[in-house]
Amino acid sequence: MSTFLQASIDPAIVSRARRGDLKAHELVYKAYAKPVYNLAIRILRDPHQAEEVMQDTFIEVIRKIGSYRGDAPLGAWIRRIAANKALMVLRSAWHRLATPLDAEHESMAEDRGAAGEGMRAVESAELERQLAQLAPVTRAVIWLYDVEGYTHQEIATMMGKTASFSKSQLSRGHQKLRRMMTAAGEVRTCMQVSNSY
Amino acid sequence: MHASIEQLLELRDAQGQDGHTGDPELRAHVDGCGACRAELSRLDNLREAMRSLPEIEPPAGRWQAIAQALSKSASSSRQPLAWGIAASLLVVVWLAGNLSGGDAIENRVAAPTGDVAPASVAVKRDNDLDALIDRSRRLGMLLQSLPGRPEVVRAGTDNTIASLENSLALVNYTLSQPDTALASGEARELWRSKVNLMDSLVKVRYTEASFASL
Repeated sequence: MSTFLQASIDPAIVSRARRGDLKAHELVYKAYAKPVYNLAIRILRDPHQAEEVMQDTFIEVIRKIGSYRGDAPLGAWIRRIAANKALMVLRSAWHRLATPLDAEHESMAEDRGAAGEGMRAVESAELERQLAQLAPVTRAVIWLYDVEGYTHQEIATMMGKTASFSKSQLSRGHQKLRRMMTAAGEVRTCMQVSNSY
Repeated sequence: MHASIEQLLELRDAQGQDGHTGDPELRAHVDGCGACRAELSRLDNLREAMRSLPEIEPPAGRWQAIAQALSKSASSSRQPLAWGIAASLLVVVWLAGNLSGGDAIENRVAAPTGDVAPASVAVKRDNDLDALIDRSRRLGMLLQSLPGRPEVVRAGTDNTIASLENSLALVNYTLSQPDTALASGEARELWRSKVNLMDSLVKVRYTEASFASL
């Protein structure tokens, strides 16, 4: 379940934020900063870019919160803006040219390792490392679909692609993750993959 | 033979939906196949593992920077000169797109593919919902056919594009909510907003691409 939908905020604060109350704006930020930052860093794998996405997202949220109708959870709306911002960075030429340093990946994995306990921390760090090795677009699709719960059609719309593209990226990403896990000894069954059964 | 990852992913996701267990034939195979069952379980566990990854704390003290940026943009937007310049730029962009002997941007950009029917960019007041949806689909195709953003972009243009894209995301978001019961007039207004935003986005992106190619 996406952490965006778990975060809660008093509707009265949202109403105040819609009317331009500065303190309420800050409370909206405090409620959603962590999910926004986590979404961005999982997709981009770069703390600096994730920070920029977080900043841009909240600037946009505060500017447009007056037009938020309240039909759906605020978190879902903020998540959409954050996802779009992160995907914009992913599409930019700068991001394509600037391959994040391995050292940054290592430090992220170490941070996660320190945050958890025992085997679970080791497994989390290993999973982080494997996700980091996926192609950025593939990783973004896996994260948006499997973790954030977007549909293939929604991902396709955000990426300017087709639902088939999203499906194939998801499948390709899982195949690659499986290969990495097999190499790491995490997958013990030897399964022949085919198109028919 | 075993099920492919794609098939197992479909099965996994169908399981999560009330009353659906996916393709019955595939389901029967997986139920009787240890390897496929194990793989399906692995995919399920992997999704749970990703959802359970420890959260990362965002850097502290960012709110001040955001509040400062918001305050700056609010004060600059109150300056009449800035509005005047922005309005002039919009007029120039609009003229660039429309005053070419009826050669609308849509036609010029999409002509080689033949995918987009020639039509005026402006939205007519009497357009019905289907026409608006069709127009938004064609503008979407047109946006996809535009060349990628240049490596070096003007900050103002970049902000305009980002702002249009996010406004569009908000409209798309509202339209995509299955639980939102929209009156037909309300839906039409949202689709009209969507078309207008996409139209503006095409114009700005086209202008940006034209300058980049000079």
